[in-house]
Amino acid sequence: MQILSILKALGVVVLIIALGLLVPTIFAALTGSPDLKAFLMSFGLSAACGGALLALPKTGNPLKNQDGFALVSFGWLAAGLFGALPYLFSDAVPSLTDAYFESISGFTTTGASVFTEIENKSQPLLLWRSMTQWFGGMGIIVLTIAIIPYLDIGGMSIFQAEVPGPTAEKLTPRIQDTAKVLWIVYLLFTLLLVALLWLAGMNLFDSINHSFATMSTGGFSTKNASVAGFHNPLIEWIITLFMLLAGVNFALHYRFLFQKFNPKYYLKDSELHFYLLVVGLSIAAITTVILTVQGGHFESALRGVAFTVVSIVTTTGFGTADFELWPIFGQMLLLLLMVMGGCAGSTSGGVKSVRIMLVLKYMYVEMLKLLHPHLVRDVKMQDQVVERSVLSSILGFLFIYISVMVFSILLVSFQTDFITAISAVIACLSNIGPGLGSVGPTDNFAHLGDFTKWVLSLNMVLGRLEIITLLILFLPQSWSK
Amino acid sequence: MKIVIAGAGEVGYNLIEKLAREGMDLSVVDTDAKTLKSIEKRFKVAVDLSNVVDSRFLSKSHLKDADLFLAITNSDETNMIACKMAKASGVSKTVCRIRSVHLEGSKREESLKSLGIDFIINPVELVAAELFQLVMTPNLIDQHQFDDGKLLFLGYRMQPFCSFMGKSFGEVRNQLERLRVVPALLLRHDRCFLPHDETLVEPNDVVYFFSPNQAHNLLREQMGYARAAMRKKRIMINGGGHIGFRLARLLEDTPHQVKIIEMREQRAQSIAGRLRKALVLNFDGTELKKLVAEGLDEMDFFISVASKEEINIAACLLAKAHCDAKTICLVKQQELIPILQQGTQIERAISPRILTARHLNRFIQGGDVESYFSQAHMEVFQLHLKAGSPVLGRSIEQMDLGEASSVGLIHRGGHYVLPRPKTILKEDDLLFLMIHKLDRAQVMARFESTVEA
Repeated sequence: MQILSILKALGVVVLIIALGLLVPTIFAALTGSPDLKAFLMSFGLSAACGGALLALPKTGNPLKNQDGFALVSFGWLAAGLFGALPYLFSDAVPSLTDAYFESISGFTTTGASVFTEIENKSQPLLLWRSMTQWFGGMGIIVLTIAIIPYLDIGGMSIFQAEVPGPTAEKLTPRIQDTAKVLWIVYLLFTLLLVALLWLAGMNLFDSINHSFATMSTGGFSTKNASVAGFHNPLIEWIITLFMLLAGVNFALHYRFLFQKFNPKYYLKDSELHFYLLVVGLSIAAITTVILTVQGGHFESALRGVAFTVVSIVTTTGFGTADFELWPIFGQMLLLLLMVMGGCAGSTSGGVKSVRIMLVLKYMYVEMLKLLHPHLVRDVKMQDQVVERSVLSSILGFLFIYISVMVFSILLVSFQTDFITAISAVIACLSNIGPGLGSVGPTDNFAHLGDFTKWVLSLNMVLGRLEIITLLILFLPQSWSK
Repeated sequence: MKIVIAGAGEVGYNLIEKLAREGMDLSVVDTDAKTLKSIEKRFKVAVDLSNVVDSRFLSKSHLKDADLFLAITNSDETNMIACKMAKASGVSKTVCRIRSVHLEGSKREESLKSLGIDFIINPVELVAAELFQLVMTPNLIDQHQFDDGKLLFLGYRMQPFCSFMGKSFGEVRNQLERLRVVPALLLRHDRCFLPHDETLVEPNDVVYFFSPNQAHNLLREQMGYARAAMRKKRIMINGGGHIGFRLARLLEDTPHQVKIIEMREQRAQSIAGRLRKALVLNFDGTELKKLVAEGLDEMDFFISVASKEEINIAACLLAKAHCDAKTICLVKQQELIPILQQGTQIERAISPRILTARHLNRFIQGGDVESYFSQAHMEVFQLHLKAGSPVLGRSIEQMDLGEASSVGLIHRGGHYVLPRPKTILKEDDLLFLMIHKLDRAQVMARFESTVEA
């Protein structure tokens, strides 16, 4: 492993974080916020660290596969660290554990918060909180690749390590261009959402923050009651729609937007069909159960369920309804949806719809083979054969995902109750935010022990980088020269 | 008519034999001196030992005024290049035999034109289409297209449940008149003839109809065959080669259930990846136990299209002994067809060579004859009446075509008209003639004799 080259590249990542910190700093200066000093200090410190790392001598050797994995992993851990500085310096969050938790929860687009009270925080701090999510949504490294082409870290393996899903798609021949177009699509959607929310009655500050949190499927709000705090059905429907869009593969959005608005890519993508089918069926099932068991008004029940189901399946974690008041069936279904997540190549977390779909297809084919011993059949997606190596890596991934989940639950169970342990781990590993029990949609993570918070922070990074990228660093072979 | 044939392989040899007998002006080009020598010895043809994909070939004199160029070597690419070169040196019509190059989709016409190919002949496609037809419309045993596909010539086997059973041809003719469908020929016990109005339809007759394309479904309904064809059928295909794969592909858009057996594992993998619905099974199609385990006894069709005819025959005989499925067997030698169909219980045997040769026939008839079909002693022609033809202004009655020949249908001004004895022939009519082979020269003379003079 070439530590020097990695550190040098890390310098660029840290500088980008510093650049990001400049935005709330300017905002604080303009509004005369008391947090200006804290932001100036954070900006100064991260710029200095980034600069120092970048000033390291050039080695000339290109990065190898293992270096790529290390860079992505350390990049994310470092982002969490530097992103936590404003929380620490402004005394909004006094302990390092809590500040790191809040920061990494932002970058991994989890949206789990240690803030018991949000509305009393300064506006620049809230803006930074949303910005961390927006950066993390499309990926810090992808951003780095996109804006710093001279940095020779454009290997497919780095891209693959950060973009969620079983196989990353190269939309353009050059990896830098692919990163660029993904960010452009992301930016376009965010701007559109800002405009729509503003027109629907939010003020500009809230609409920017909520757009960041929606498109990245993060889920940080500026209100204590999350989106419910606006009491505006139109806003809820708009956010529902854009959460759903954020859970779709951005390669599809790119093709739609840049290839003459041809809807055929949406229409023939089987992962999208599966994802929409699951969302539709879940909404229908939960709405029916709620209306029959608890009664109530149809439109408001449908709106609440649609918002919550989409919010959970896309791993956003915004809340309008307290789903802990729902029948247990609804809560359990949400727990399952948390594990599934959105589509590959989207900003959402979880194990991704495509993996679930392929495993189901694989099971079908295996059963068919029992009926017909001589059958020759491969798992297919959109009439294309899915290679066995892809399938076995998916099965392996699912197993590791579950193993990590179970092991984390075990660790967390020292300090929490049963349902909290399970749901908190799933909510963090799948980058959702709220869980059930004492970390439900109306609660927060502040009361958990420090050890639990560190375990959950690690879970968030594991979940965002789809586990293998980070876990690979624990192999001795990764560190050999 | 001057014809140049490139490629004296199996298909070529059969074709040369047939054409030479009909007295065509033939030149045969091949690179194999031995074959050419034997052809030269046996038939009255000009042979040319040269490579068709050679620039010197372009200057050959026999290409200059040829009416038809047939590229039927075993190599697709050679055929394509040969067509391109032949076209460039002034041949009026080129036919290219292509097996694995796919020229499909919207750009087909364009790409063919750029390659100098007028018609494509693809044995795999022909066989697959024929088999598809047999499965989809099991009672339709023969089909030919006239008038650029607008008029079909259909041979239907009369099953006991057919609504025409026991009726006379006069009645059938009246019943179908408003559909512009004409019962034209009757094939009974290998004898083909024009049915009289009093002739009754008997079981196992094959009746040939002229039917405009859009009336085909109505005709099937009239016969009572439409419902039977709709039923979901189970089809087992032995052999996943080009033909088996193409057939399974065609069947994918139908409700029928297809199982396809392929012995080679790699090939099985490859076709399994390209088929959506069909079940691909990897075992030897002559292993009875495995066939039965896969539900042989429930099959409606068993089609064997493996590359070796002995395997096909063995598989079909095995299948026939253990189930009621209709069996269809692919053979190479055409001599096997009557033996299999009459001597064994196998229902149908088909040969790519016969289909290819029959298809090639379409391009060979010269003059005003535009399309051609033959069955036993009867031949069916599509004839375009041009200005100056001696028959213009005369009625059909006056033509005196004789007992065994007749005009089946007339295409006039965009419509199909049923001919009556008093119908007067006009310029630009398309006649569909049924002629007994022995009367052919005599009848054709009536139409053509004075045209050139």
